[in-house]
This record gives sequence, C-alpha cells and structure tokens, in this order.
Amino acid sequence: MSLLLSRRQWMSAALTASLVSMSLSAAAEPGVLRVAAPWEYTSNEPSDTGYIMARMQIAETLVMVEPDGKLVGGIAESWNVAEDRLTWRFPIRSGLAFHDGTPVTAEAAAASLKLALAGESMQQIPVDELKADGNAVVIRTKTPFSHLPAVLVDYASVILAPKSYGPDGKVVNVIGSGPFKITKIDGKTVIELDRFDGYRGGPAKVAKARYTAIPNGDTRTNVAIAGDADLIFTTVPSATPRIDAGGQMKVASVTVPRIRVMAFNSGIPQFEDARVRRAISMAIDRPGIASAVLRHPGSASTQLIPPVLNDWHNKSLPDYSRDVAGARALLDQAGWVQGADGVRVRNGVRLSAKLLTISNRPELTVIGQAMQAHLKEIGVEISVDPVPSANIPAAIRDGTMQMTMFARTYVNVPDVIATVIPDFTRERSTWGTLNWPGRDRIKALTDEYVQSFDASRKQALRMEITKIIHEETPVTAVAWFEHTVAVSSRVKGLAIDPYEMRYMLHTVTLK
Amino acid sequence: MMLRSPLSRIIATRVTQALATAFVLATLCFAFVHALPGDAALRIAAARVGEDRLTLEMADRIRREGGLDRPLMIQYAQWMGRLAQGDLGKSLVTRKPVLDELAYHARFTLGLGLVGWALSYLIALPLGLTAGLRPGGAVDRSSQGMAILLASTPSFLIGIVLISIFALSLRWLPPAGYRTGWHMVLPALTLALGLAAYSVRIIRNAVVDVRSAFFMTFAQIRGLDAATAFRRHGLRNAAIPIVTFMALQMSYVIDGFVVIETLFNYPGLGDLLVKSLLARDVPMIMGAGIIIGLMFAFASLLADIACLWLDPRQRLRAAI
Repeated sequence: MSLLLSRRQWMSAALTASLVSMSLSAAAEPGVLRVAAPWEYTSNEPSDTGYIMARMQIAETLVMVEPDGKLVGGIAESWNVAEDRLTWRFPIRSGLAFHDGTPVTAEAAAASLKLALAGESMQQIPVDELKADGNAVVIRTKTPFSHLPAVLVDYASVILAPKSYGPDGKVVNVIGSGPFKITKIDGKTVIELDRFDGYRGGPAKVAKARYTAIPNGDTRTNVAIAGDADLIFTTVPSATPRIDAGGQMKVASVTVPRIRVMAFNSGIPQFEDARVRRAISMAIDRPGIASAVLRHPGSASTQLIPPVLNDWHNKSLPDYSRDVAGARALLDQAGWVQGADGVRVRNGVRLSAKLLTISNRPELTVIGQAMQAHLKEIGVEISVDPVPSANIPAAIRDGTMQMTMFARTYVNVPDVIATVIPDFTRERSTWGTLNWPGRDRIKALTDEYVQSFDASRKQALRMEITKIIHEETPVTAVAWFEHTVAVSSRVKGLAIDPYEMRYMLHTVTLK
Repeated sequence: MMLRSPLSRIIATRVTQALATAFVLATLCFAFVHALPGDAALRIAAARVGEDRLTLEMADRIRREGGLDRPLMIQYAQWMGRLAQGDLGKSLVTRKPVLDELAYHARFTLGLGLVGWALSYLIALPLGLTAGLRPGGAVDRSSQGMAILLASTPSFLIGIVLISIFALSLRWLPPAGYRTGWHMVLPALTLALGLAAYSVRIIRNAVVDVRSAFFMTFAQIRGLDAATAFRRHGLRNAAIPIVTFMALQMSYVIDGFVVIETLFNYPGLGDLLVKSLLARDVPMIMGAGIIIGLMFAFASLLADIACLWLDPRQRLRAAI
C-alpha cells in the first residue's frame, strides 16, 4: 500500500480535521455551568426580573423557602413578631457582604426593601413603618399580617447593595449577596456570572455560570438534544422523549404548584348555577388529558392545590373523578334539557360558551379541544379560542369572558393565601373568578386568615377555603404542572426547587 | 444651490425621498399599531413582569405613564413632534431608549445579514456564471432544479433541516445562540441558501442576456474571442441588474429574517420586532418601522450609486 495520499484522501482528511475542530468548538466549556431558561433579562428592576436574580442566586431575600416549603432565614437570620402582632423584627445575619465587598447592614437592607415595597407586587403588605433598628430590619404593619415572612420571599424584594441604585432609586447595577455575582450582561439574552467567594454558606462549587435566555420552546429542545447547555429549565413536556433519546441530557421533573385552571363567568345564565360548573368539572377526563396530551399521567389533578403544598392540599376532599352519568343528572336537576342538536337548553339559552386559552401555551388549546369532546357527551357545547395571554384579564375586566383556561402559579410567594385573595375575593379578578357570589364568604375567611397567628385555626381556615372552592367550582383544575429540567451528564448534585425560587446552582458540581 | 454632478442629484433626490418615506412610515406605523385589537397596556405589563404578576392596576399605571390613555390625535402629534427632534422615545417594556435597543439588535442582524449575503454570492456567482455561459448544460439544469427547490422551501424549513443534520445528528455545530463565530454558521447558511436560490438565476439570466446582446456580437465581429469579449464588455453590463438585485436583497436582509432569528435564538432586529409586536411595545414598533424603512432607502441609494459607477449611459442621462 502506498504511503502517499491521493488528492481525494487529502481532501477527506482536511474535511475531517476541520469538522473535528468544529465539533470541539461546540463542546462544553470546562468550569462554566451553562444554564438556559425561557426568560429574557429585560431590565435591572427586581420587580421585573427579580426572578432571574433570585433563581440564578445573584441576590437573596430577607426570608427564603427551602424546596420542602419550609421558610428559613435568608439575609435575615430569623424573625419574630411582637405581642402587638404588628411589629416584626428581622435581625440581619452577621458577617454578610455584598458582591462589591460592602457589608450587608440593616440600613442597607431596609433601604433596599423600602424601594421594593413601593412596587405593585409588594403593595399587599399594609406597611406602617419600615426602618433599621440596630442590626435588625423592623417592619410595623397597620393591621395584623400573619404571612409577612412568606411575602418577603417575593423576588421583587431581593436585597441589593446601596451602590446598585441611581439617584432616582432605579437599579443601575445589580449588586447582590448571593453565591453568584454578575460579571457581564449582554443584551437581554446572556448573563455571565462568577462564583462569589464571600458567600455566607461557602462558595459555590462551580467557578463560573452563564445564563442564556431561550424564549422559544423548540429552540430549547434543540439545544437540549445537541447537549449545548448543562441545565435547561422549563423544557417542553412533549419533547422529553426526544431529549432523552438524544443522549446528551436527561429530563428530570417535579410537580410544582402551577396549575392549568379553567375558570367560569359565574354571572352568565350558562354558569350561574354551581351544579352546572360541577357537572362540567365532572365530565373532564383528566387522566386521559394527562396521558395523551401532557404525556405525564402524574399531572392529572385531583383538586385545585397539588400535594406538594402540604398545608393547602385538602386530603378530606373527594378527588375529581370522571362521572358522565352524575354530570348529566346534575344538569337535569339544574333544569337544562337536551335540545334537538344534543346541546342542552334552558329558558331559550343554549348551554354553550367560548373557551379562551393562551396561544403561547399550545398544550392548552389541545386540552381545550379534548374537553370539547368530553363536554359534548353531557350536552355542553364549547368553542376554543386561543388568544394572547393579556386578552384574558382584559376579557375578565370587561365581563366578556365566558370560560377560560390558563396556567397559574399559586406560589408567587410560598403561602397560597397571597394568590387566593386576588383570585377568589373580587368580583373581577385578574386571573380567576368572575362574578362569583361565593367571593364574600372567601373574603371573610381570608381576612381572618391574614390576621390570625394561631396555627391550628389557620389550618382549619385553609381547609374551609379549599372546600368551598372545590364544591362551588368557580374554577376547576384541569392538570397540575411538571417543572421540567434537562440536565447534562456532567452535572452532579442538582436539587430541584418546586417553588421555582432558586435553581439551587450552589449545590452543583461539574464533572 | 444647483447640484451639478449626477451623484449629488441622486443623493439629494434619495434623501428627500427618504424623509418623505420616514413621514409616511411614521404615520402608517402609528395607525397600524393603534388599530391592533386588544389592550396595549395589559400586553406591555405582561411582557414586563410575566403573566403571573400581571395586575389590572399595573396596566392602568402603564397606560397613564406611557400616555396611552390620551386621545389618538394628541398621541400622534406628540409622536411626530418627538420624531422631528430625532427622539424615538423609550421602550415601554425595558424602559431603555428605543435607539439604543435598535442599535444593539441591528449589529446582530447586519453581521448575520452581511455574512449570509456574502456567502450566498460565494455560492451563486460561480454557479450563475457557469450556468449562463453554458445555457442548457448540466450545471444550468441542476442549479435551476436546486434553485426551484430552495426558493419554494420556507427558510425555517431550511433551518430545521440544517439544524437536524449539523447540530442534532452530527453535533458539529451549535443549534442556537450567538456567542461564538460557530454559532453564526447555521443561520448564515440558512440565509445564504435562501438568497442564493434567487440570485443564481438572476446572474445566469443576466449573463445569457449579455452574451446574446448586439454589442457582444459586434465585439466578436471586431475580432475579439468570446472570452475576451465577455470579460471586456459582458461582465460590466451583466453586473448592472445583478448589483441592483444584490442591493434589493441586502435590504431584505436588513429587516431581519424573523423566522431565522427566532429559530436560532439570534437577537437581531427581526427578533426584536416580533417580540415588540407581541408585547405591543408601541414606541419600539414605531421606531423599528422607521429605522428599517430608512435602511431600505439607504440600500437603494447605494445600488443607484453602484449602477451609476458601472454604467456610463446612466451618468450621461442623469447629467442631462
């Protein structure tokens, strides 16, 4: 055999060499934890993008939540409330430092919190006074507000260093105290991070991290199949088999308190009777939807709140179960009779409605179409109309919403009460009930809950609230959510937080 | 002042046209954005804080702060007044100046566009010239087949095929992003294949037309061989329609290949425009509309200048 290479062999060798170099260029970078998620970094304001600061562990809040739901001290070591039930004291941990080396003092924390409390999401707290007192932040509320520590987990209240703010109080540089510090922000897409060696719990195990926003779900899937990231949060559920089959990343998931909810306009003739709303809930084949549409049987809901929220999941409630005969009987009792075309009618009104779903959550439209078939069996006609997400609050506000289905988190803060109040106690909520007469009963219960410091009474109130919602069905849960994370084989020690407050990157090591 | 040189005249005409275009575009953008159904303030609030945090109170505040609750004629007058001073306003989502946002995203689109455009001519020029010099030959027929196939394939499909082969199956290139040069290969190739599909036929036809032109026959009668005649007289004449088409394609590139940028997570102008439309970020949409329109006008001006340089007949006509 000749040792000389032919021209064709030379060309193929050159091609192979160039392709190998290209392949190497696309390989993982040692020491850099590459994180991808759908959300763009649109501004430095914690009220807008604090969830990226909190999840990437750039900044921390006074109080934090552990993945098991337990509230723990963050920047505050602990907290206590005075006998007046109005004055809360949050002593700051000693020895804490911001990323710029300045100490985390009670003054700095109080100043940062004051700016956060001016934002809309924090205005639920009836603040009377907020100040630094010695080594503690002291908050006095106008009325008893028992879930204040839970509300202070809100990402909008992340504590930033005094140098973070410009003269107008706007954030110009994000200087937090979490295990990672920002070294570069490139547009809305990429944030480069270095480990913060002065972190209170000891430095993170990886030296560098990079956050990349990939809003398009299909693009996230492609990146996962190609293995061009180490952690990809919120992958498309239906893409899990393809990602796993790609061999570069594996999808891990955990049920989270985000719920695919269907809400009714309880003020229109079709849905003013709770028996109709219950009948519709009973006709839905939730296990079928979970298996066939969501490809995850565990996401079939049995009540509004999933078991991961121990305190609010009401074990005494009967499970949602499909009962077509029972649903038909309820509609008969409510006076809706079958018309010539199979759709029920009462007093000349057809039992028919338009279901608004969110167009950028494509699974909701498919679920809506499945429910169309389920409800037809009991003589209810629905048409599915996918719309931009903001159209749903607009339709609730102007009263044109008949039925709607959306995805709603019940843990913007770790106590569900903070979501129950806006969603179930108003005539027109933003996301939830519309014209529901039961709102006054819930309002009385939530008012008592907010003011109560008696743990057993609060537990009883939680059970009562969930029971009323279950029985009266102003909304019904169609499916729970799985928080999905594609994880590369070089990542070890990842914990997934069902509250989606932190990505727990400080525990991760890279092979 | 009289403008004597043809170039000055063309520039003056084009600048006047660009200003008129900007005015019409500003009016059209304003009308279209405000004619869209739905509550803009709610959409902006959702884009700022996400669906979960959206409240009606927040939307009301944005409506007040952004002046979206004022009568349309007042909003229009304010918008035109600011525009006359070169102020495109601030994004209602990011609160950053629209011009800064456009400048940041434009560099990605221009970079990708230039590379894709140059790559397309690296493919199209040799193929088009060869096909035009031998019409009906194997290269002509096969390039025509490929051109029809690529021209009839939507760019997202070309992108998906390239991603499937080079990123997902072979794993030679990253499927999305913009951080390194390697990230640009697949989107640029997607762009190039789509552009080359048209330009290869334009080049081929220009070459065929020029070769059959009377002046080429005359050149050969004068004793020049075919190759010399084409080099001396054909190339320059064939270049005129090609240059015009190249400039038109460049303008097409400028407004960003929306699908390509979304597919490859490439933060260009097209991606920005789509997100701004979804978020109903009124100042951003209107600013982007005007800037993209002016860039079209600029590309067209460059084409005119190039044609003037290439074609002495046009210089003569312009000088009369």
